[in-house]
Amino acid sequence: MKVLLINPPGWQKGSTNLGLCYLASSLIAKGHKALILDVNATNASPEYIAEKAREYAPDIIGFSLKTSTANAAFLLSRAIKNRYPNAVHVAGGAHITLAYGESLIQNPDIEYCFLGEAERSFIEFVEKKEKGLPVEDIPGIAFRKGAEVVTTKREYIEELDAIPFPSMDAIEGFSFKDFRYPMITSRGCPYPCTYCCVGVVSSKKWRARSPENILDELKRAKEKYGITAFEILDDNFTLRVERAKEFCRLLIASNLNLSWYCHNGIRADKLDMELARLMKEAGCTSVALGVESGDPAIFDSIKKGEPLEAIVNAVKCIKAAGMKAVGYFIIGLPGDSLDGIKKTIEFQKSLGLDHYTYGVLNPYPYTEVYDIVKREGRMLMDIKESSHFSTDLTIPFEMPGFSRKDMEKAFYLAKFQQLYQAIDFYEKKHGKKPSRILYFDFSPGSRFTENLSKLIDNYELDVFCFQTRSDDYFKNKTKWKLTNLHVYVDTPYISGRIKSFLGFFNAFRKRDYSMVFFNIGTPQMLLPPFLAVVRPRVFYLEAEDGAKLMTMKDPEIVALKRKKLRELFFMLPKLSISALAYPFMRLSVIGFGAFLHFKRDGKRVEFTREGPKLKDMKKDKE
Amino acid sequence: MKVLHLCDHYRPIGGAEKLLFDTLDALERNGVENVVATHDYLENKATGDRKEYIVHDLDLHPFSWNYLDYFIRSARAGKALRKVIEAERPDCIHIHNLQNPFSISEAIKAAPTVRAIHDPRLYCFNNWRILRKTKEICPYPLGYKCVTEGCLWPDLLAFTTDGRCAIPRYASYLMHRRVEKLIVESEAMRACVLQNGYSETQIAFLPNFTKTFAFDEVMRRIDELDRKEENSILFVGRASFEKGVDYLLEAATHIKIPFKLYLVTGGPETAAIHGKIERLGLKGKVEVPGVQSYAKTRDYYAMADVVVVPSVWIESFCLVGIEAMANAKPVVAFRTGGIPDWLEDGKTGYLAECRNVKELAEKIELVLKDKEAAKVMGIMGYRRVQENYTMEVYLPRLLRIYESAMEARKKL
Repeated sequence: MKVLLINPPGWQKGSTNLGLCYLASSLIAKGHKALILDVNATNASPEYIAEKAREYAPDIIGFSLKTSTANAAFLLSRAIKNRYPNAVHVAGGAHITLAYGESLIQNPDIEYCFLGEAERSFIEFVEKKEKGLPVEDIPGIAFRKGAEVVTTKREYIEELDAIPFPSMDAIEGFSFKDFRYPMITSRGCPYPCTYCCVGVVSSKKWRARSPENILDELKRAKEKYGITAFEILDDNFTLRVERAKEFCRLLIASNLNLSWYCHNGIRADKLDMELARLMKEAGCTSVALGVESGDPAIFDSIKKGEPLEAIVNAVKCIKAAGMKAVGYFIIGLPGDSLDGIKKTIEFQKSLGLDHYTYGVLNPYPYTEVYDIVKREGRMLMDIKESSHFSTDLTIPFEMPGFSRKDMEKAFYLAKFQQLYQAIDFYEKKHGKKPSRILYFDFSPGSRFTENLSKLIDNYELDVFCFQTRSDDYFKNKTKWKLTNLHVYVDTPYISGRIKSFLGFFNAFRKRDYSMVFFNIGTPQMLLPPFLAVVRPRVFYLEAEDGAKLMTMKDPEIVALKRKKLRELFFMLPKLSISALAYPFMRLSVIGFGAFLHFKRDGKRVEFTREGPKLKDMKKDKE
Repeated sequence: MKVLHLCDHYRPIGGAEKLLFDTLDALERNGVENVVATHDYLENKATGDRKEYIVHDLDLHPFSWNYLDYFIRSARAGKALRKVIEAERPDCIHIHNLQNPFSISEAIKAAPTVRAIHDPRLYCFNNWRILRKTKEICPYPLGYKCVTEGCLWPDLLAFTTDGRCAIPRYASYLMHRRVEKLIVESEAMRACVLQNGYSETQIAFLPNFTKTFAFDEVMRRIDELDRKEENSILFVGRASFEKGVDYLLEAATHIKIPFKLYLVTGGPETAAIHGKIERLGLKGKVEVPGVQSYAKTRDYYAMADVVVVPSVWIESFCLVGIEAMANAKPVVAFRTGGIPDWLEDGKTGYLAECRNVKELAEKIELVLKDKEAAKVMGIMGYRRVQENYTMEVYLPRLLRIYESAMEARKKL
């Protein structure tokens, strides 16, 4: 049979839907045809996908749903049904496992839902459909029967080694360039964390693949796709520490020379120094931890089943082993507040992480926090409309002690913590708050910065965002204001750019800022000219390890200035030859213009309906 | 015969480059040995299908104020090209899109030279023959009007690229008087070339060609892919001012029947196009699939009810038009440049007055309303391409041009 599998848009860009690749390989192993359309990567329109589906003419179309991709999947299903009504539409994935009833009732196009792992149930379904047999007795499915939704008993796959390796080839147009091979070495998680849905989706029973089987997959991936890096996406990679160590030892012995990451987060209490060292030796470069909250009361209330000290120890182990430590934090956990987030930020600073990410809680259906939010708080949107890994900030709910506005504030407080830190430094040093701040943002597309000035109280804040963009925005430059600046400079000519920059710098100079803050993306080469023109009294330079306070009299800055002057001095001989030639060249160009001006002859071409005609311009004049 | 082809871009980015690759293939199939020398843009990669040289700075322009650097680098590029020519000893040199006078003078010195003119850059300081002040099509030859009409003079003061390029461009313009043959693609182009002081004997008239397909195959694809319930309008081309997407979007607001507009496009104005679609309230009616391969573009041709060519500059030929006709589709276009050469008004499509968006909308509606007539127009277009714009017609004429260039050089 021909099966089309679709990964709908709305998830992290650059990620691979491994679940669909597993399904495709299982289908191919049984002699069926499978094609995966990764709409999340291509962002193709529903009409285009419908057309593709019609071209491919599958018997079954399967959608993989996460909560934030569910609506897009239903739209795709509708569009395909309109253009190509012959296929059976089925759905699976985390969202379907959590909310199959609602999904089936609201979307008549979807006929069957697969709950949890579908490598067996889906194959059985396809084979029964091929033979025309009834499918209602297949374990782990849900379907409509009259007005009701019926489910069958779910079974989990115990022997994970028996599942064929995932097939990335089945994804249409898949790019293996800079490809980080995704791996799942175990499934399930026994911990009852209140915000997490893994226990429901992949079961509370933890099942693991043998280290040998994992290594076989890596060898095959290296041969077949030429991978240089892989990423472990397990829900709980190190639950059995000995198994993780065994895997690392085998990987070291295999000499595969692959670098790898654990960016899905591991448990802090399941990491010891020996494992950290082995991981490093096996090629692991970075490990992420789900810290969630730095407020001990909240941390304990989310039922992670580990103390906050475990996080501190784990970060120490990771850093001591020479890997990068990454932390993930959640804003809006039950009991959380603006003050709680401030505590979390303090805790995060004390950890000395190499990278950290804050996200607003998405209360997924049928998790404990979902019930708490429903009971005590208020949903602000349908959870399916909330975004995950988006550049826009969406806050899907609010709680009595943590309003939407506060959550937004908390998010910006965490995201721009170095700016706040700089303001504190200033206050401590000068005994007063800075009256007027300029924030420099050179990172393209940072939409969050747009809202920054609205969120900082008591200060006058100008935000200078610089981007080059070719659209009408540039034409409306009369609308630019000095506060909350968003500057899109679009001119191909360097002279034009310098002119507009100097214009802005001079404007900044007049505004007399008490503090200037350069965000981390500021190009180093722009710093000296800026400092030379604006001459701010105090400025802060954002770095990985915090904002660095600087003044024009700092030895570092004085040295930088001297270095630049020295460079300029030694560059002068080179420049001078060109510079000397330049006025003559310009004069010759102007002379050339004059020459053309006085050389009057030629014919004018006139395009008529009968064709082009040439006319003497001298006669025209007469 | 051995022919050395000089070009700036050596990858399929537009009509001129597609024609270059089609020409190379056609020549090779007929026993001509091709050698290609191209500028060292990062994107220019050797294909391995023929002998290829990537020459550093082959098509350099004085983009920065540092003229000295420009002269030194251009001279080096000329020298490198001379070495290539000495090593290859071609019978004829075919210059495609190249402006650097240093490279061109080396080519002219070494062998009989043929120059294909795909755009007015040879005799216009701002590339597109559109007057800077009024945005009208420029009717004047290169000369004092470039100064009085403000195309050149502000540049001399504003220190811009066009201003800096003026002298090298003028040098290249004068140098081309010594080129044996100038290939023009349309009557409009011929008039422009004559107007700029090149001699009648230099001019060789050679319209473009496109790959054609069996009639049954074309009709079968249309049957399969045509969206019967939808009035689909198609635009294929670069997203830039001169290709007139702006005008097409404005025309779309005047169309009174339901329609869907597909823009197979990409380029400097892409972001502006998206902005304009939103501003004009055309969201949902316009889809932008982006740049597509020719194979994929053929699907769009098959699907479309009408192909629109809203160019607002002196189109030298416009390959998209004959591609659409080769796929049996009617074309609606502005009457400009070489378009009237291949588009017979009322037979293979409709012509609207240049920049008259209301007329363009009316003509598009005319096609969409009567699909049977549109089908007949498509078939007439298909026949016209089969008779005039195929490789079988193009190639012998190109070979004849090479031969006459060689004869002209011998006489000298």
